[in-house]
Amino acid sequence: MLSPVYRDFVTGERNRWRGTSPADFLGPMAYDARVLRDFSWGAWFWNPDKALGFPRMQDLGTRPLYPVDLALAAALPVESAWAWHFYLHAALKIVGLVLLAEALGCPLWLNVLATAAAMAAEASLAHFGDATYIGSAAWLPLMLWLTLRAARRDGFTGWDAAWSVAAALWALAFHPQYGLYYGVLVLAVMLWAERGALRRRLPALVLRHVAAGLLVAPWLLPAALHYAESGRRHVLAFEDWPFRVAYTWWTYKMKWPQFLNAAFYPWVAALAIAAGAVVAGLRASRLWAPFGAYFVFGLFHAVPYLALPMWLSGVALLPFRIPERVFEPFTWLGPFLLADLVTSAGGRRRLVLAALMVVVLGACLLQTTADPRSAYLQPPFTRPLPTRLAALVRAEPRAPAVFVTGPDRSADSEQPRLNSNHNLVLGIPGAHFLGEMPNLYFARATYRVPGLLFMQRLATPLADWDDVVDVYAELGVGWVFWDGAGEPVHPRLAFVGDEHGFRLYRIRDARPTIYALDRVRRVPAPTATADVAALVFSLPALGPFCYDCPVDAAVTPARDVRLRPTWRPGAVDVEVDAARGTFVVLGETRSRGWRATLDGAPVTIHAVNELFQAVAVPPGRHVIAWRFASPGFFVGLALVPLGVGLLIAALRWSARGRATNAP
Amino acid sequence: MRRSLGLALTLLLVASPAGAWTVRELDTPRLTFPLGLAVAPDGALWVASTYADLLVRVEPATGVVRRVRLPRRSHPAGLAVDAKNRVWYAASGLGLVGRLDPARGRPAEFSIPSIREARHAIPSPWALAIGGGEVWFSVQSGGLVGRVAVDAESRHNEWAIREVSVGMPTARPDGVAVDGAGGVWVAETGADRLTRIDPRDGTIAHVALAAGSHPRGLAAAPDGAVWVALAGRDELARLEPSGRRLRPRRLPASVGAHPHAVAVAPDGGVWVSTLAGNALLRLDPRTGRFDVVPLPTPRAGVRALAVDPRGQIWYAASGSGRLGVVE
Repeated sequence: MLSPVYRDFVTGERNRWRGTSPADFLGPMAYDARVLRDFSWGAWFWNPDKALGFPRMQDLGTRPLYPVDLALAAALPVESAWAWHFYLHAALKIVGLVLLAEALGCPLWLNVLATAAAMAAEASLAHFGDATYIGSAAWLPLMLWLTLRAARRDGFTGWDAAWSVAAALWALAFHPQYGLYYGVLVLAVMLWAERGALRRRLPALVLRHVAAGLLVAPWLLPAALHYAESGRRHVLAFEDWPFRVAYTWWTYKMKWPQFLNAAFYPWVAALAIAAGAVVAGLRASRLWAPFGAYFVFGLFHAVPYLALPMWLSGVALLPFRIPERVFEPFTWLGPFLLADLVTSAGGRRRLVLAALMVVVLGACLLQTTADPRSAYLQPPFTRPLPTRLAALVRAEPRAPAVFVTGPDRSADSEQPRLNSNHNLVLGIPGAHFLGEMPNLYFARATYRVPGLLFMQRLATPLADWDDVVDVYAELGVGWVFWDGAGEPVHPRLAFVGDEHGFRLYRIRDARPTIYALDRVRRVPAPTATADVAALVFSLPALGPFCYDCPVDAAVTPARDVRLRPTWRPGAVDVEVDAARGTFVVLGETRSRGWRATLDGAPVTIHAVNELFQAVAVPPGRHVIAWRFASPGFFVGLALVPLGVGLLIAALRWSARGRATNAP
Repeated sequence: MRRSLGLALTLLLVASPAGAWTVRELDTPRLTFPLGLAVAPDGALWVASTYADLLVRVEPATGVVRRVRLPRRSHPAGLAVDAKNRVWYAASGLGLVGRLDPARGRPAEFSIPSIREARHAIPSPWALAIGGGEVWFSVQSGGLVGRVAVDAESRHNEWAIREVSVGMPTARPDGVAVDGAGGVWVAETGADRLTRIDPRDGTIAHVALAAGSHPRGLAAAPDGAVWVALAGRDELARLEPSGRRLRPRRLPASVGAHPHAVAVAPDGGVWVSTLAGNALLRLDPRTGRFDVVPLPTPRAGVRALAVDPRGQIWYAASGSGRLGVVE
């Protein structure tokens, strides 16, 4: 009778309940484990194995600073850590739901019914599909509970402090879109719960929010700064980008069936909850008013007709794709709306409402057994990964690989396919990016190059990518993992071997990660992304291009330049010996966190090939040092003690005030 | 958009070792990985600026350039121009074939019917050829060849294109050519074979090639023979008009080879581009001698050749983004 989701969860049949190919999430966790095992600040800030290098703090989809995941990655093998991420958060969600029911005054039987219904609801099953979904959802009931518990108390209490700490952990765990929606819901519940006492409570409320902000500052500051130069921030610059539709809220059209499905599922449960409202009335409810306000917010956020004013102003509130997700809380917290009514009803009404609660639970359980939707149900990735081929790549000088999936492979929903994060599992550098939007420079340089920037569940047609192998080579891509039928044809592709259906090709004469330039082709910095694409496609024939390089930088022929690089993630040193000066390129994505020095003195980093970085070196022997550190991290780290101190001081000050005022 | 090239037509001049050929590259705005090139009956050149979603028309006589923007993600690959000067292009990124009438604005689009069943990757039309009142094109991702009448109307919910399955999905049909008898030849890169389709009855005949041949470009000669570039074996092969005898010729080892595009000039000379050698080669079929014509830009990556009415060989270099002519 159990949903396959819970069955597999209980029986430990891996992957089925883990949503999209587990490598989507195992990969980043594997990288975290490596960083913790062999710590360096460079590796902490900079993931060199993704998208030709990527600021780790920008990877919002993988929650780089969530202490729970970091602890799991440090203590357990990656796959176990991944499993325990789900176990712990499922447990946390249950605890939060039970506490929320308790805060609403539910008796035990009602508590059990409401919690069971919420855990069996469609959306709760979907939470198992993504590490960040369950991370967001697990904390929400707890946050609602703390919000209700802390409400209307005198001064700053332990409940407020607990709220701050929980909010900080929640922010470090959550999926950005769900997290912000849930945040609005918590805000609505807080304002309703504190109504009448707001003026008195305002200092405490401000304090707990400020403290929470200070606690997450090490993530918040770098994330905001990196976001400023992310492709998502500049998505409108990609005028001819087909994915733009998928990424912009402005052009997203939600249809009414989507809205109904998103907000009122399963139907029977939604009808039973609505019937409960009719039977009991809403006067004594603690949740209906804030949930109603949130519903109105959702309507104005997601329904095209209502959102029209925001389209006209050109400014969207929370510009997320798939905006109907805003209604998701109703589909799993809905039973608590009914439970809220049951607690305040008496007599016959209570009996009717209790019967309706049983109907709600029954409807949720029924839909779990029928599995009416399958988005969260994925088949396990049973194919063994090409570890032997990966070892071959690791044994060679460092060169990123591209993972290409053929059109003959099934969609991820049928057979999880090789994707970019598998390279993190295999421990080899990847040149490509999957899923979310990468750094702006990487996106501008690669958005037209097949195989480098792609969405999940899309194949790369063979006809597209093997023609551009010369472009790959200029971008420093040294390897191609081909997962599909057919054989690529290009003079620079050398077949290395196959393993479990994966085929490895070496790209001959690909640029190394660090190299000296023979000549620098100075071009004006393009304003249109299409012009960047034209420059990138001209790389094989015309060589690297640069926007602001000194023209006399590269005068020594590259073959006469001696380079002795020492490469570590986010920390690269190069001893250079060039008789007449040269220009040294680091083939990793430029970002605002990079700094370079020449013989210890800061030097300008020039943009080469749009996304790489280069330093001009005068004649003679010199040492270049590149270092990456996410801006704002250490400032944020310094603010954490301030947040902790603020909480302690507020608690003491408030306790003293209460003692003074005591009769 | 028009831009006069004026005197800029005279650019880089390179003399071939044979001494008989000069290469001239036009100073057109840089093309983004051009994969298609065709000469129109009116003498104009059309080039597909593939990853910029542009068709570019160049008038060699006046130097006037006109750019036509195609729908986003079209990624036009192969080109052909029909007798009415309408440009046919393979929109490899959208799974359709388009027909642009330069006198009108919006191109007519003909979707490939198998796109209805495509679940994970759209069919990628690639090379085009016109013959017998039809446009024939290869579909790389599906092992298909498509055909559509040159005067077909593009109507909603109607499929003007008919598809012919030539083999397994991994056959990867590439070059297409129509021979003197109206037969349609297709190079199956992934299956190492040539396929001839008889348009009248749909009969399909295969010619097996040596393993690893990877045939790419095709061109039909006036005598009924078909020339094919065997990229995997560095050979240029002539298939006799009978369709039974294949005569491969190895390309000079000195050029590095990996032949790609093929064109037959009115004087009978067979031109082939080499990706690894960065040169065009001309084969004199009578003597069997190859002339090597180096290209001025390294790694030019010529993937499209065309012959103009004067017998000049034009090339589109996908690597350098240049349009050039051999005189």
